[in-house]
Amino acid sequence: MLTVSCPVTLSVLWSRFLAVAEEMGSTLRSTAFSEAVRDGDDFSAGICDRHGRLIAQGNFTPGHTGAMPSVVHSVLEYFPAETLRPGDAVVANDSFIGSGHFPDIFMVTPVFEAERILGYMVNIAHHVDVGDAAPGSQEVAGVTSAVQEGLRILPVHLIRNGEFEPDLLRMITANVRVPDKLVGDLKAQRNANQLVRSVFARCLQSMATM
Amino acid sequence: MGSVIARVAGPMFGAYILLKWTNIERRSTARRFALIHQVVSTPIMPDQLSTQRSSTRVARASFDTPAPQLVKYRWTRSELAIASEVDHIVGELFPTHCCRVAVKFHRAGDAIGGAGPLHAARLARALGIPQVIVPSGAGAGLAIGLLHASPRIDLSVTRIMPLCAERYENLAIIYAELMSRAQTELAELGSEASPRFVRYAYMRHQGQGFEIKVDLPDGPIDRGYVERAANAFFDSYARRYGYRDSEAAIEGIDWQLAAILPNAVAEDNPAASLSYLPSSPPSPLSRSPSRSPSQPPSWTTAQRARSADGGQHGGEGGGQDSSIVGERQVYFPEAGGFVTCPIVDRYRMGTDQPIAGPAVVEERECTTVVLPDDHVRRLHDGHLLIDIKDTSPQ
Repeated sequence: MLTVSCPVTLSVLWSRFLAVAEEMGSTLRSTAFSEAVRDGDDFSAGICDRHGRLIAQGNFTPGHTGAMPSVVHSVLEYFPAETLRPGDAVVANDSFIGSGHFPDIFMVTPVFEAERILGYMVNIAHHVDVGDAAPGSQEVAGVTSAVQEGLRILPVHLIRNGEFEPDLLRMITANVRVPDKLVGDLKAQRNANQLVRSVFARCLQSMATM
Repeated sequence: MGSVIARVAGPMFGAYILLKWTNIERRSTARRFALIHQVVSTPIMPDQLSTQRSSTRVARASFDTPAPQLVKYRWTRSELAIASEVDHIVGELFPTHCCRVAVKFHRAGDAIGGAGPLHAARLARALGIPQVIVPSGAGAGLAIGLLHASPRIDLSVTRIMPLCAERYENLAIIYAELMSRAQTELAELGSEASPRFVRYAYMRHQGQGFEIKVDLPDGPIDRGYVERAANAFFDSYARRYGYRDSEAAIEGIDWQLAAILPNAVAEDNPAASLSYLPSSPPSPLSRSPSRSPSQPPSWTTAQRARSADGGQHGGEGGGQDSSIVGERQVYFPEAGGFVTCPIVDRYRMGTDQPIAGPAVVEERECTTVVLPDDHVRRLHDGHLLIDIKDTSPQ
């Protein structure tokens, strides 16, 4: 178990993690296709350690990050760490495991060093539509059941080796009103997590030289 | 961990600085740090600038004058207060900044800008930096950079347009217009040199809200050019975001053309621009000692002699250094007030001959302050190196 006793080293390391989370969120914003993400900043980004504990979060929408560790734990219950591979990502939007409402889709990406998981890059984006009775997927009048709120996604292995599972993506896009924006934002979520995972790994590796 | 070269920089003087400061007070800490580089005030070359001579007298008077009578001197006191505050804030924020950019600071500081050498030694003490380098021409660094830069004209037009083979003629028209404008402006410049033309654009995938800069290929703009431009975008996007989505449509927002003229100074002889730095001053800096018997020195000759290594300073304990061209009263909080301070002509300094602080090293572009107990020496390449005595962070 790696421990950091020097407060200066800890401060430097933590600042690096914050920078990684900021870079993750900035990439998500810059490459997103929907107004909610690219203009409304309705997203968040954070880093969890290999136990799923949140260790850094970007300065974006704080309301998303409180449930982030809970979501990672739920994802790991469905997909234990030993079943994940580099380039994989799991998504979920179920309100009962952490998402505020169905439009908020979490994406959890493991970071590997060889065969070992170092931690998880996690982001969440508010998608402009995931079904529901009305455009925007936030209808409340007359909505009395979760199945009326749109597409409910329990943790699914949507990305393998960096590529979307076409069958799952086809099922998701068939149930939303603006599939191009949803797919564009999912790609942005994938790119954001993948872009910074190597940076996070290098941060941890650099601890050995501090 | 890596290391970083700290840079203490700033323009030279002015009422402009006070106005800036007023606004800074209301800004965030980070913003204040960013603006610190602009907030410096310093008298420079007192014997060459007559207005500065009076400033020195005012400074002395302001410290000897009771507070109710300070109204007419408040400008100078404000200057000194600002200088002190600058040192304090930079010293306070710099370690935080180092942590934020994930570096550890443990080498030499690099003082640049007109007033960087004025503040550098004090900041070095506060930050635990053992040495400060004052490069040749520190006060004219930006001007040197300007001399090295190639003259160029940048022209742009904003036109949101999908990048597709069917629209190549529109792209050709855009760049024909830009080239025409460039030729007109080049003719107005009257340059006989042949410019180099560079195309670039700000592009994104259709539907995105942020663009990336893409260097576009040269050559005639035809159907094949569009494909090459698209590949340039994909390459840039992949470098930045790690992915290439060849099926997603592309659109350009800003189309730009740069006409770059050759820089005879920088391209023919990269070292030539450094010749603008004088090896000797334009006019002698020598002056007569100004201290009168009525001005008690707080930092005595004996103290200076004890603090100097090897006696290579201008004190009476060592031989007379020809680079010391005079002395004047300078306020050093470290010494508890005004002290008689030797004025050193940088152009006359010998190589590797340490001079003990307190001292003021003058040159045409800037002034370097050497604090009590620090030592300054000129290196073989002309730069100054200040050894800071106490480098434990405060």
